[in-house]
Amino acid sequence: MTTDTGLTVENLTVRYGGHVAVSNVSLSAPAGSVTGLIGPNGAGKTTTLNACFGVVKSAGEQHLFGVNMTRKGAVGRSRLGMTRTFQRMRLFDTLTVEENVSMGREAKAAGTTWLTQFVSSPASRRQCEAATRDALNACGIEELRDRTVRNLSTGQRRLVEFARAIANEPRFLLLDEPSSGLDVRETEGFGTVLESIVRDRGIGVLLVEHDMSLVSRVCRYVYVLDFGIKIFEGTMSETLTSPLVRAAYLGQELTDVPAGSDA
Amino acid sequence: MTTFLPFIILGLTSGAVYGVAASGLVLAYRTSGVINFAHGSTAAVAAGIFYWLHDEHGMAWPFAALIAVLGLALVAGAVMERIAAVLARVPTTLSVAATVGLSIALTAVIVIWYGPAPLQFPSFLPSSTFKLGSVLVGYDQVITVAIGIVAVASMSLMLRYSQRGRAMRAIVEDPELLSLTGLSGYSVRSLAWFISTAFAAISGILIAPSLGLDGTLLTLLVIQSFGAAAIGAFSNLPMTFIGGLVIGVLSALSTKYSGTNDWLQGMPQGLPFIVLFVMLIVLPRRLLVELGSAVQERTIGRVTGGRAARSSKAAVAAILLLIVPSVVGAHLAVYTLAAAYLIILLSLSLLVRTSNQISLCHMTFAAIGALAFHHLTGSVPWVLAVLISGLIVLPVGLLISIPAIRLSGVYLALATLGFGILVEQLFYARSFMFGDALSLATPRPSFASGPKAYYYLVVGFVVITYIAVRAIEQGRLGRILRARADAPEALTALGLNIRSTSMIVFAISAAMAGMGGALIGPIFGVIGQSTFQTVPTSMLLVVLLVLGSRNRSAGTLGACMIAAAALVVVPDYITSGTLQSWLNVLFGAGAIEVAFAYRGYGLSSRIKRLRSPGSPIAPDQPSSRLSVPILIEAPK
Repeated sequence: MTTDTGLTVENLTVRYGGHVAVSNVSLSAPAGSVTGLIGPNGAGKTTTLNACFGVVKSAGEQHLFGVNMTRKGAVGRSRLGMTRTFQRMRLFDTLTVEENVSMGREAKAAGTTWLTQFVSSPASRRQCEAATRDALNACGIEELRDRTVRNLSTGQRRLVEFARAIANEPRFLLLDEPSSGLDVRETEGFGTVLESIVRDRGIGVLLVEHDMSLVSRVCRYVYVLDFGIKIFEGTMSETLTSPLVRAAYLGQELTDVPAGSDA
Repeated sequence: MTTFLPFIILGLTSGAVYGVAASGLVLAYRTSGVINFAHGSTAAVAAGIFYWLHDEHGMAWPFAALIAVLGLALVAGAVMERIAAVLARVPTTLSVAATVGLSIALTAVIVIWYGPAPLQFPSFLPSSTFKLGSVLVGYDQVITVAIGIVAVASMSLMLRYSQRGRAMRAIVEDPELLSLTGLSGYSVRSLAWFISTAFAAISGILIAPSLGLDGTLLTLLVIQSFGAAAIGAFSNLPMTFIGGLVIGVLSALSTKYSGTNDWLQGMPQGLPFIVLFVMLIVLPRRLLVELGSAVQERTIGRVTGGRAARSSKAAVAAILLLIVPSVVGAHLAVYTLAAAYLIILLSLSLLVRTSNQISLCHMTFAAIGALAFHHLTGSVPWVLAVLISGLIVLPVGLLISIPAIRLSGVYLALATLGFGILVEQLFYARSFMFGDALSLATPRPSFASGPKAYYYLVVGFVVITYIAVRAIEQGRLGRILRARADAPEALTALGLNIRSTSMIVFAISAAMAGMGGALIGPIFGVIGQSTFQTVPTSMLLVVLLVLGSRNRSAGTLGACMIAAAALVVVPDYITSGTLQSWLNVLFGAGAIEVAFAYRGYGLSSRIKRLRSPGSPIAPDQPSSRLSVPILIEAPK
């Protein structure tokens, strides 16, 4: 297995009691591009993402850059170079934008040993500052740096959460519905930022998303889930023309894919 | 079997009382998301009313009981509903402090009413007996158990089958949704608090004959029932009642052996807390999801003001601390004690103010530190003995932080309270702790043997502790803790194991408290069991720290100094015991006011509105979270 495989998931199954939320799903998301994971409500997208991050129990095997991480929890997976965002954003509401983003790098440094939780070396501090600066820059939110996060708009908050994940310097990133709560223009702006970061840093991204306008713009390859089963996979153009996807995703009667109409 | 039977019957009787109390506690918790630490004091108040009516005014006991139970339940049902509605929307630290404060206040009311010495509370149920096999059973015992079963069974049936009952179960899930169905949350919650208070009152009146009318003892009833509530996983009412019976029987059986087995001394009293502690550790975490835990915010916001403001405040504090010996005269020992408590409060502030955790056993850490110091002194240099005493408490703190890893908020508060009582009941009388000795030597060092010199020495330790706390608050750990209070999951996602953070903070805090405790002993030269009123003082510490933090500009040191002054200095100038009790009432009410102020219903905002009627309710503090938009997911 080569290292540019990014994330590979084999035969993922998640059960909640007797209910099978995700059944036997396999997917792979390479580094350097955005892979989409789409499907209607309740299809099991977020469950799949949570399983990839080790926060729900699942069967099957998961690898990250060739390392088997099936048995690792969220912290262990994060140390392998993976981080995530949340559909309902988990921001440090009482801290400023800069402190939020900075914590993206600092939490990683602090998590190394128990001692690093309360002592930080000057070198580690410089690293944090550099990572914070770069992430704020890349997301275009330098002007917001001293604002308290809870006073920001949803669009700005999404960018802060994304910047925090970027400051974590991940090799792989799980994004959970980053466009939810954003208007068309904000979604577009987010797409631009996401594309440039994937291009510049060569990280792999698995994007769980509802908004087809964002997916069709940034994703190279797409997996489609419905009722916890993978019903289709293919390139973006294949997906957009697949009648199977249309039936599941948009309902039988629709014949055209309206971009972004579901927001 | 016949040797056990009397103990089982005894245990079932007291167990039924615990079961009733615990069911009331759980019902209120499930409907309002607030665990009422004042549940036991409510029981004590009911017993007081009953005593007044029945024993002092000769009213027949059924009427006296009816009036005490219904009267109290009516008043408390209305008042507690209002209080709980606010408490459900403030951080757990504040809501715990508020009901703990209420408990302190109610206990003080009993003391004001009937005096500090416990009163004999004559049995009022028929005392005749009948023979069951070869065992004598009292009718009073049968009546007690029957009352318990009827009360809990009828409540369980009501919850299951009546519309009100279903509404009660629904209201915790979503109060707003309930109001859409046309039932008001107010009436449902009021009913829940009415029943909860009535159950507390019933249990108080039933158990008072065996305990006497003693505010403190009856207050502990709430903690007995925590063990039962834990067996019911804080949700299942029938299991809670059975849990009460189990605890009652086990306690009674351990009474049988505690006479012969040295290790079982104190076991009857300690058992409920062992059950509570063990249940909190072994219950699956999903069963212990904190109700209303949406409010996971930080209690105390960032201190505003620049460096200049901070250093001027520090200068004021320093001058205050330095001039004390020259102005207070004979009261110096009290100020030295206050300085030692300042260290304990600073350590507690690390948990409560910075980390949003709560500990109701900080005086236990202090007591262990003081004991360690007693054992060390003489064999190691004095200063080293103080430091090692702190280090010895470190692993104890780590042990308590095991529940801290798993539990948040109110369950951690319960676990620490349980631990504090457990240590006091089970271990204080052991020879490795206080034993039978009335006084254990804890001398001052040769280089600071005078009271003045020792005062300055303790102040020196205060400065060191403050610098350490400040460094932690300002440093990486402080940043992590502030971030964790807002979004713990995010830190996990970024690669930080926040469980270890909880352990580290708890252990550091415990060690500092141990050091503070070690410094208390030399003030008096000796320590004994009575030096550390661990449980009441631990509760008071939290309440006072929250009170001191009400004005955010006080800062960490300011808040702790206010609390230390209120804890030991002010009482020293008050010679009247009644006045002291009124002070406790004031503290308790103050803790509730702080929680209200957090939501913008504080006294000062009310007064403002009185002055300018028509102006909207404004939060006292601009940073209050009323302005936070609720994130509703975009429609799909």
